[in-house]
Amino acid sequence: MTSYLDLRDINKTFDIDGSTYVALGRVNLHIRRGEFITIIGHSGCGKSTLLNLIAGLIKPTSGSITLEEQPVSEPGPDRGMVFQHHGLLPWLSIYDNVYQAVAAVFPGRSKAEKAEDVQRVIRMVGLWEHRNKKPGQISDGMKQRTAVARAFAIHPKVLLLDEPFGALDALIKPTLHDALVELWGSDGQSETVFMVTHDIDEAIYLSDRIVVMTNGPQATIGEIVDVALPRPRDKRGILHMPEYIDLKDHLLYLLSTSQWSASQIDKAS
Amino acid sequence: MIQERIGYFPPSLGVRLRTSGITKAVRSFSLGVVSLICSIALLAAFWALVSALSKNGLPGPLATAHVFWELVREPFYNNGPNDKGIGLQLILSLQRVFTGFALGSLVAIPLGVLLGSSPMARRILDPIVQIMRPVSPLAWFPIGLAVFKAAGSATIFMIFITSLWPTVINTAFGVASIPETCKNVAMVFRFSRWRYLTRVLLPYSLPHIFTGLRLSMGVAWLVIVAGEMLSGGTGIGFFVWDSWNALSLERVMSAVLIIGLVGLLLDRGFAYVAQRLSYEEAA
Repeated sequence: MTSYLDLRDINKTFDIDGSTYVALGRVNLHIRRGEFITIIGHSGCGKSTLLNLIAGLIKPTSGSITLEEQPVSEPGPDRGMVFQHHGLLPWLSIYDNVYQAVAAVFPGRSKAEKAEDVQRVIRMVGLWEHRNKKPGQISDGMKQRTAVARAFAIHPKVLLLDEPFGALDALIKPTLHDALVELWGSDGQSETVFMVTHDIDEAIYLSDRIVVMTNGPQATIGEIVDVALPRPRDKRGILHMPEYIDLKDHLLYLLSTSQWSASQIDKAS
Repeated sequence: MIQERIGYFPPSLGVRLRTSGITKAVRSFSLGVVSLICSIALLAAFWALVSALSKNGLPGPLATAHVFWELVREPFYNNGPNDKGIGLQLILSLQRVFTGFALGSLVAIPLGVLLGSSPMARRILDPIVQIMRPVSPLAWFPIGLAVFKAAGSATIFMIFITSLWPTVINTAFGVASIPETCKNVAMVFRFSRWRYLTRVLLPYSLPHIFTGLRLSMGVAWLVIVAGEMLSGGTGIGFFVWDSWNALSLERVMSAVLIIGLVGLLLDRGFAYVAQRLSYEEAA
């Protein structure tokens, strides 16, 4: 019996200038449907590699990835993606960035249906008045919101987020978290979300489970931590909950000790 | 709904910026006029000096201005094959340039896209491009004559070959430098080949393509004069050669000025279009 999104014995090596670099070793992860799962770890620990594997942008050296028991071998619209630096096409307006994705994924739909869907997601991220602007004319936060809207617009089974808010300042992050949570719950059925981050607070606020990676080379899953905080979560409210404080403590401990020698941390930073 | 909180701009500040923008524009315009007058004066002085040193072997600016006016006053007269107005000659030259250039672009842009997007195509075609590119355009003229058996077609062929390379190379460069993220976006959202071409590849490469076209046009305009000297008959290049044979250096100098001005206009026209087509780079 496989789980909804299933990663089995994933190994990934890269050939760099003739020498082999083992990025990921024996990664096993079983994700339930509708789960919000976050991968956290130091830079260079293979978080993004894992995400690109699920996206199908790269192939594992060995091991298998299945989504609803179908093997993942190439990119597809069942896995929507929000890229690290928004990945919007700068020559298209906000509206067209979303519309092109929808039109590419659902070529059979009528124009009106496509337009309706595009309007719905752009309104949900609060950018309808800005729909005719180009990415170069809006703030970083708005760009990332557009990217989130685009990923949701194609109704993916799994939403992949590659450090989506990493480049944003701390003041604007909470509004984006809320936009994400709102969209996540808006579809009737919750999407399964797989997010890469290095922000512990963000991980706790959003996730059902947090996967802590060990450092590379040959990075693997160090520990999987359950986030038992009730939903809907109140960003400021949870800060003072004992569970939150314990969780954060534990994550900080995991990220700072045992598995990581000082030299490895030097290399990573 | 989330309201956007950053990027707020007080309207009063905007207005003030705009007025200061106008003053700035006026100032830079008048500065431009003054420096233009200075550079024309400098050119005329240098020209007059050379003319005096050559003991009027080279006609001076004043003598030339007189002939220039004669030529420009009635540009479109046509007294048979050996006596046409300068405007007519210019139009004939421009027709050849644009025909050759258009044909060249039709070949060069797809070729550049192919070279830029397929490493295999690049490996096979790049050596051919590298060998043909440094060949002087004039060397293609006899080949054109041999193939087309007509001087007019050979001239157009020469322009065609000339306008290929800068466009091929710049297009290929633009296409090859499409960011990985853009390609990944197209893959994740399953863009069809056509959608990728029209929504990603061409918009990204367009500024590069236009740089290539602009350079191609510049070279084509350089080459047409030499080409028409070889082919004879009509055109601004023939006009220069014909005037030299008639020992009218005033006419040669006038034609040189006109060739320069038309070249400048062509270049500026392309620069303007390229600027309009370029998108704002996302930070």
